[in-house]
Amino acid sequence: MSDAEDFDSSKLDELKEYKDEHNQDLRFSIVEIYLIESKKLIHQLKNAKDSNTISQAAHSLKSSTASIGGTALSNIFEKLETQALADSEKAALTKEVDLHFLKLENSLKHYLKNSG
Amino acid sequence: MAQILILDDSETILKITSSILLSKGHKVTICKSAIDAIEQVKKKIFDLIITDLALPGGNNGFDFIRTCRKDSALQQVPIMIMTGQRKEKKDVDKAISVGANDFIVKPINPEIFESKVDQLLTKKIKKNVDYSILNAKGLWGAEVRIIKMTEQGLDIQSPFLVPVETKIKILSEFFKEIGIETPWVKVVHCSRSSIADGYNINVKFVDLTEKETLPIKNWIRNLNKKAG
Repeated sequence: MSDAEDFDSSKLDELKEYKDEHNQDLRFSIVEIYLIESKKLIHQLKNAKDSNTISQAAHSLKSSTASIGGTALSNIFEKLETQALADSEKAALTKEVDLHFLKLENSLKHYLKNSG
Repeated sequence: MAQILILDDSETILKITSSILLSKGHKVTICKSAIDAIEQVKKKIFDLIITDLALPGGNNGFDFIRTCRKDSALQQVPIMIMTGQRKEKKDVDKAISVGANDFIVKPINPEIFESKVDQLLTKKIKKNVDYSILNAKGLWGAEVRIIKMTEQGLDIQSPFLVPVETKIKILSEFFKEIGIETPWVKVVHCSRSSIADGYNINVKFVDLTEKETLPIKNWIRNLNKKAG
C-alpha cells in the first residue's frame, strides 16, 4: 500500500483556516490530540478481553483517524469495529494497525513540518 | 451567537467540531458521554445539540435523543447527528424518527458543517416567533425555573408536583422585567421530568386583559428579534 493511500492530506487542508484557543494553526493541536488519543485507544484495543471494548475503541478510532486523513488505517478500524470477525482475523488486523499507524504518524509529522 | 452542546467520545472530533463553532462566535459545551450531556442540558439552555450515535457506556445516541425529546424544555431544540461514512441509511432514518432534525457524515467537512449548523439555528429562531426560551427564576413554595413563555402561559420546572387546575402566583423578578403585575396562572399539565429531578409544568395565564397581554407579546417579539 502506498503512502498516498495511507494519508489523505486534503482532510487537514480543509482545517487550515481555523485557529485553536491559543490562536495557533488548529491542525497542530488536532494532530497532537489525535496522536495521544489514538495511542491510548490502540493500547485498549490490543488488550481488550471482550468484543464490545474492541468495537467501541475501533469505532472511535475509525472516525478520528478518517478526520485527520488516515484513510487506510480508518478502513482497518472499521473492519475491527465489526464484532462478527473471527479471532485470527482480528489478530491479523491488529498487527496491521501498528504498521499503518507508524506510517501515518510519520506522514502527519512530515505534513506539519511543511505547513509550519 | 448560540449555545451549542457537542456529544462525542472522541477528543479529536470534539476538538475539530468545537473549534469550527468557536470560530463562528458560538459558545460550545463538549461532552464525552450521554450522562455528562444529560447533566449539562439540565443546567443550561442550548440552541443546538450535536451528537454521535455510537457512544460508550451503554447509552447510545438514539437513547440520548429520545431522552431529550421526552422533556418539554428540550423538545424544540434542534438535534444534529454525526454518523460514519458507511453507516447505513437506516441509522439516519432511525435517528430522525426518534427526534433528530439533521445529520452530517464524518469525516466532517467544515463548510458543510457550518452550513448545516446555520440552517438548524435559523430554523429554531423562525419557530420561536410565538414564544421565548427563558431561564428565569421564580418562587412558589420553592424555587422554580421558568423555561418558556408564550402569550398564553409558561412552561416551568418545579421540584414538586402541582395538581392540574391549581391556581397559583409565581413570584419572579421576570414579570417586573416585562412590565406586568405578577399574574395568576392555572396548571394545565404536570408530569415528571425525564432529565431533571422534579416536574415539567405548563401553566396558562388567568384573566389577562388585552392591555396586560400586549407587554408579553412585545417582550417575546423583542427577544426573538435580538436572537435573530
